Amino acid sequence: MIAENVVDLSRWQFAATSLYHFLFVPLTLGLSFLLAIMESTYVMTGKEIYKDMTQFWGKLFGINFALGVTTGLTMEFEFGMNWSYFSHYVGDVFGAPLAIEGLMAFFLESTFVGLFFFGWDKLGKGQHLLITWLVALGSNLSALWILVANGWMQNPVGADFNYETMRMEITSFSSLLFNPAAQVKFVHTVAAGYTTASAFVLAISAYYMLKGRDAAFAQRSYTIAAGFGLAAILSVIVLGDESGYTDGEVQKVKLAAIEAEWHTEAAPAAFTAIGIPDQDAMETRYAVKIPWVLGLIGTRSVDEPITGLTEILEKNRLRVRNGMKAYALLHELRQGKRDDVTLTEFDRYKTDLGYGLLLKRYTEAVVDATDQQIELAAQYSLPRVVPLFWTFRAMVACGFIMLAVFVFAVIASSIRRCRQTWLLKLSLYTLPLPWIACETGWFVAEFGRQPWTIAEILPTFLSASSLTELDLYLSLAGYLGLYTVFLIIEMFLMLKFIKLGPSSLHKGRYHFEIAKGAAL
Amino acid sequence: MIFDYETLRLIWWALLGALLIGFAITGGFDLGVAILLPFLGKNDTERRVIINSIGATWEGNQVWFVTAGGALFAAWPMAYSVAFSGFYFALLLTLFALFMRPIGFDYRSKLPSQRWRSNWEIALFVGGFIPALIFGVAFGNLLEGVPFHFDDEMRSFYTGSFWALLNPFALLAGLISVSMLIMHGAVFLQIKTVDAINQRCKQMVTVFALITMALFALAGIWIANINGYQITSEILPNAPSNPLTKIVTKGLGLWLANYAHYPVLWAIPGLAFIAGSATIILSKIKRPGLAFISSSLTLTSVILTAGVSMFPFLMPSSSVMNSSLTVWDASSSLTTLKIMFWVTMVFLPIIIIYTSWVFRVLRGKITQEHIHNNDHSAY
Amino acid sequence: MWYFTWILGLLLACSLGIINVLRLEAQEAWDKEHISLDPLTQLMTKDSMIRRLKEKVDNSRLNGFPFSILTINLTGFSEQNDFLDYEVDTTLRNVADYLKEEVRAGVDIVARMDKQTILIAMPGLPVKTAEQTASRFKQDIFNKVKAPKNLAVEVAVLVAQYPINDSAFTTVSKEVENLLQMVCNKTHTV
Repeated sequence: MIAENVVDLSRWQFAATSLYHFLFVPLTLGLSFLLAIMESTYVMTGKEIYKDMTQFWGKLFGINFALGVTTGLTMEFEFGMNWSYFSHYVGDVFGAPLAIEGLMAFFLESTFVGLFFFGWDKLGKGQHLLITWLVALGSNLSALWILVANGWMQNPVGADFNYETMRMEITSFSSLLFNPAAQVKFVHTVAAGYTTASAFVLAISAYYMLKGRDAAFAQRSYTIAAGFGLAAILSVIVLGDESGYTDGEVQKVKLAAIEAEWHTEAAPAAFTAIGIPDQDAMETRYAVKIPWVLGLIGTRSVDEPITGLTEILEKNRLRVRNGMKAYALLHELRQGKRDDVTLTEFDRYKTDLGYGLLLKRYTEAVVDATDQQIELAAQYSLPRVVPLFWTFRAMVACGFIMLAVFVFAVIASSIRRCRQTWLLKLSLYTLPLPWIACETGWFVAEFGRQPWTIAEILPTFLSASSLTELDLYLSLAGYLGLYTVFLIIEMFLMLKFIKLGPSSLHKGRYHFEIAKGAAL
Repeated sequence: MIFDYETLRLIWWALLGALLIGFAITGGFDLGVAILLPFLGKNDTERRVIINSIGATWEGNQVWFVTAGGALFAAWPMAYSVAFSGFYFALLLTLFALFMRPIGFDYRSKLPSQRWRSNWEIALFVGGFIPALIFGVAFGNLLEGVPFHFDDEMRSFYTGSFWALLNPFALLAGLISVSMLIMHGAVFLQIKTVDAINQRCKQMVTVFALITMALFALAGIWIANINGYQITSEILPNAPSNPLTKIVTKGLGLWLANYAHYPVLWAIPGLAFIAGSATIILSKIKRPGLAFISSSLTLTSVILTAGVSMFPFLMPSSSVMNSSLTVWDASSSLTTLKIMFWVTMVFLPIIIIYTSWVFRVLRGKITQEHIHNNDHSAY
Repeated sequence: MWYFTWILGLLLACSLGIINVLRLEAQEAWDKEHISLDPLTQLMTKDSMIRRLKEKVDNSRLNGFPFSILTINLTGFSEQNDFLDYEVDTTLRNVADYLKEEVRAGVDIVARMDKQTILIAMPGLPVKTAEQTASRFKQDIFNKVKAPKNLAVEVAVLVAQYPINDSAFTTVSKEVENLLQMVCNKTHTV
């Protein structure tokens, strides 16, 4: 058993490093495609302004990409460094998508990104355009594989526990790849990236138009971002809905927790828009409910119920007891008693082995757990509702606001009335929303997975490396310190180049080059 | 083709080695150039030339390293989990140093201030030197064995300290790593530059090739006088991965046992000296392209020497020897190895093809004129 | 199934972005073709110019962005009737051709205001640069453009800059009238 402090610190560190990494990833995912669109327009129309757009937004892309790579390196290492038992226990399954991510996606993206920046003079128009598309493809493929891995953490299909090696092992690679949780997550996450990039370009273009600078440039950027962004935000919302549906099938406890669904209600269940959930009392005070909505969205039917937390808890009490049996049988197998009876019994209970492992929090031996400890373990098997409830609603609220903004933006750009001050200001203020939505979304996904690292298979408190508190304090301090410095530098440079606008390309046709002569 | 577990484990040992060697050959010269940066570039433009010689391709090269890590996770998850948590501080240091690179390359020339630029050059130097050193130190420690053990639920416990990693033999390995990557970086720089920088490169190639070979010879003598490891129980190459069932002994000079068994293997360290010398000659006679090939061969043979020497051990344990991780008992399941094998067979050739194409498109010298003409877009 | 949807959705989203902007391009191209041009010089007409000046004044008021107005007046046309009609036309056309080459494409606006006056609006140009540009034009026209002797070229420059949200502001149209008046006066006094 690892000291609770070490586990908590490891969790804080992983949360911090991954949330930080995800500040930069969505922009890379989406902006790479926006660049591809701009360059395609350049090749199609031959107009230099689109090349300027590709190069200017590309400059901002580069500033962002640098930190995406930096923080991504940490993630690759962190599984082994801080979560070594996890890495052993599920590495057979989890390691494969990570390795494939490297082979298929990272190589593609990183090899061609250099050529994107430095190959303008050495490649023909069509060749360079292909490169840009490949960079976009590479970054998105990388999202695919890491989300296949994460999807497996939420819904561990296609794998089986092997008592001889004490780990999970792959039984079906196609189940892993086509895991419904992975599929939905992937499309939802990349769509969120597209939305982020579109909101980014929209806001900055709006800023230029508000300042009356580089109008033609800004208007075209705005128009492209509006179109792409509307499709993106629609996809995010639809796929978000689909995620909820999938959770209702394969990760019921997460859906119940997000919605503070304490009891299984008569179908179709009502959606609690606002309220104060209370986990100890298992109720939501001051709830404002919208009838039928949750049932319809969550199950796509009028008669299927959404399982409530109380019912899940009841089931889990039984599963903990089964888990104890499984654990005892596992020990016998490990000691060498491998007769048919033991093996069949173990196979019968092994899906609940994870629940048995929850007891390790209270007693190392597991098999000697008291009724009270079993009750505690069952309670522990449910995630904390209050944080999930609010972060989920924050994410959805941001999503719908962005939807409205993109609808306005598309209409305005189609009728060429983008210069309305109210719309431009709205576009500008929308800038932080996609980031808030992305980070709260990830919080919902991962905090909703607790107390497990692999749902129902391996609890978080058992997954950490055997390190000391000092080790964790030092690494946490190092990451936080360095990352803060990097963020300040990155924002400084980003703001500098945004303020300069396309004049930073030194082509001789933009605002600052005209107004003040060549000196900048 | 149906491979059995034994063959796949062997193939994956080779593939992991290939990825590490691939990193040394590609990312290696990036590290070497970064180390040489403050010494070979005497003014801002010269240093920009050096940075831009690797600027467009360094990111793709670093992916060899990331993929090697991913492959270690996929094919040898036990080794991945024990090594990465055991060498915690060493890896943390390496990581922090590697952070400097993407930011250093992209941001250094974005502001004109000299102070800003010199700071990033120091950062780039650190980002080259520390990883190069630590990779060697890590390898050296693997050869000596590190203290770790498992409990009966296969949870690993590393009982060594960071400072213990910096022992003399490991530091020697670290220095070999640094000097051979400097040699390799200097050769690459010789291909990409002209005039003054080019001249300085040639000197560096000679100096560091000689240092590398000398230190390598020293390491060879030293390794004969430290404890190596050997499995004494029956090896079951097709059994499920469980490191706890074997018996391992330590013994003086056992790391040369494989060479004694198959004398033909002596060609590998021999090649290191031949290729190393060839590098010096080829560099002097102004054939840097060929020098690059021989330099790559030098790197390959140095790394392969260590790997062959240790085989079948991946990570010997100095405290509880029987827990050592070997090729036969630390791998993933047969299914995983098979899947990963086919994926690699498809993608590795594709990667090599398009990487070569990119290098071809970007071929040619980086001159001071080029920097002046591209002041605002170059790194 | 969702992976497939992703690819489709992505193509759809990219197409939406491209189509949206291509429509913009088409609309602007149409606009350009349908602006009435002066038949002789192929420059903008007075009405279009006044409309554009209103935009510039508005823009400048929003964010303090300066713009210059430059007039080129070929004096002596009306007064000296020695010149044949076609000579006048040719000269004007030559001057117009020269200016079209020299101004910044897509940024500056050139229009023929009346028989002998050409007006150029140059956004973003501060006083010094505008004056330099004006004298350069004058020199070049004098040296390069083929014109009969006794033809005088007058060039005047006016730089307009408005503090943001100036309350002591009359309507935009009135303002443009003022500007044109000021420029005319300047021309005659130079």
